[in-house]
Amino acid sequence: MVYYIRDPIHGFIEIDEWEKKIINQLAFQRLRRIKQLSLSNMVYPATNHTRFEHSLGVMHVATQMFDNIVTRERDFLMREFGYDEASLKRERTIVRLASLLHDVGHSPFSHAGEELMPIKTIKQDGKPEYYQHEDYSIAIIKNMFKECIDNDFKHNKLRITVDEICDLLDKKPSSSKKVFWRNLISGQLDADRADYLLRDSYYAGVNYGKYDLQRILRTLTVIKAPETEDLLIGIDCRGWHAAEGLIIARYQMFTQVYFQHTRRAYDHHITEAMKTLLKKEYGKGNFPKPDTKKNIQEYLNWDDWKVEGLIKMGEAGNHGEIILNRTHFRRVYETSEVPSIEELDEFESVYSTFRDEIGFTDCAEKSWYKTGDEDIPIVDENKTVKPLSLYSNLIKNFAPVRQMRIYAPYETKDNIKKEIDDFRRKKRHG
Amino acid sequence: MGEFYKIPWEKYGMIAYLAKKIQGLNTQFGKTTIQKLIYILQEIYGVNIGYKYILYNYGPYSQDLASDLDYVAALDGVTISWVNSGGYDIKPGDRNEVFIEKSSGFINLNKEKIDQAIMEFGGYNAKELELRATIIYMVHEHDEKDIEKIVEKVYDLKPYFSCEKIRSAVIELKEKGLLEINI
Repeated sequence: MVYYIRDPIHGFIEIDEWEKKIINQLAFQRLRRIKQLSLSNMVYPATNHTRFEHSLGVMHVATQMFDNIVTRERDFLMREFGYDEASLKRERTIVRLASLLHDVGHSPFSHAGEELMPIKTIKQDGKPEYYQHEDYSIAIIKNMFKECIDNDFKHNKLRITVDEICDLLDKKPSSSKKVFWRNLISGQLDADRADYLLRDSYYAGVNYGKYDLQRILRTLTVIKAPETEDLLIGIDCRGWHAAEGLIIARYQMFTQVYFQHTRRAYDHHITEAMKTLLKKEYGKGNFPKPDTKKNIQEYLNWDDWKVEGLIKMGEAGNHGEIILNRTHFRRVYETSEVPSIEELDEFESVYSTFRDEIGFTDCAEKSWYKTGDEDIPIVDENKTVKPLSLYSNLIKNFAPVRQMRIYAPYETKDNIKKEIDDFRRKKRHG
Repeated sequence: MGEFYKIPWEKYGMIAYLAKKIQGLNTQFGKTTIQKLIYILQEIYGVNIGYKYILYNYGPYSQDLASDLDYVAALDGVTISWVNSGGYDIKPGDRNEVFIEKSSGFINLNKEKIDQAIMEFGGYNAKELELRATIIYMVHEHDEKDIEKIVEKVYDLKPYFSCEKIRSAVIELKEKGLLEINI
């Protein structure tokens, strides 16, 4: 039995009986209660879409990417990775399930919860390494989906295991095949980004974020890296303008939506509000570790609805009140998008002078959506590989956005802004 | 009061310093090379630059480092060009010394270790460094100590290196006292 789910971005998303069963698991249904863009709806009121529909979209796009690559490069993939028709079909199912489940580990308000993850381990240098949402995704898949994947002998004719699915999501994949296909879920041309740019653009109501997905799908190919012999996913040279369009879309969405100054203020407030709630619940401001089934279940109880309910009840402290009253911290100073050395110096000087009065500082590199490393490999008809920046003058001149901002509390914003402006003026005039 | 924020001059400075020091070593210093050298500096020499790595297409890879490199290039700390034979070439830019100067405290503190790493690994090309960095990743992240298992796992990831080639690189790292493994 095949089911079709209506989707405003991709039309119909096709799922089978087994996938429907997996989607109906409580740990997946929870994604309906986690907004894709956190509190961006305080700026773009219609961005209420969730990780649920995004995950379906990623599965849909990853499948299309997989199919297009296999259609173009079937013989090459069979030769290099030792696939036959059956194992290719099996890999396709693993890619579908991994992309469907890749976000099940998100905390409430998506990336805003990332700063509240507990310590995973202490590194050799004594510094802590924190869990990330990907660690939670893997733990949740292994603990909460094993029954409906490994043990579902009725639907799972290919005997796929949760360990194989997690191997595609893990930061330590086990084989060259997995490293290669992992690019469809996390890479420069991944299905995650391909879906969220279009989806976030649609719900934000902006005309940024759009690019030619169909052209990209039809020009995806396998590339052998020139310096090493690693196999990469790249673009046939006939599609380089589409690749350029994707990068421009990403840049514009970053500056206009993901790093929009008010949205970032709400990222700060919701993180602080959740920290207050977690302290009340567990005595410290972190989510439970994903190390036992009980802790994982406890983590899964956290979603946007729970947090919003507690905020409404007045349980989330000062930052909860700020969210309720829309009295967010205001931007009082910012650098240019790509600050020069002199601007970095000025930022340091402003920051050190006013650090006791400001609300918080923000910098683009802290954002999960940050830009950088945009050179996509392009292959021509002679199999020569060159980076996109050699084809595109636009990309050649792209630099990562590193804007930095200082925010002040709503009540004192005007005074602080004036003081900072005066300080800068005096500095400039010696 | 705002949280403490510090501009990561030591990261930018390290990129600039490596670009300067590798000059003259008669090797192509590209994006893969800098990724692996900084990984080795962190993992083997204990120079805490603060980059987080995952296992990606070319072995251990840090997205933050890739982004920092582009940023330092945008500010003329380094130049990045593509060479016709394939791969990037990173050279000191017009403002290279400014970045080194701004991170001089960090670089001076770790100079001996950095220079030792450059002497030991700076002459390798991208492919050789990729092999060694992947071996180190296997030992450190997978906590693998048995040479045959290391060879097997690295071969699964990088099948274009023969098992013999992998084994000899593992032994070389062990003999240099850079890896603690059982042979």
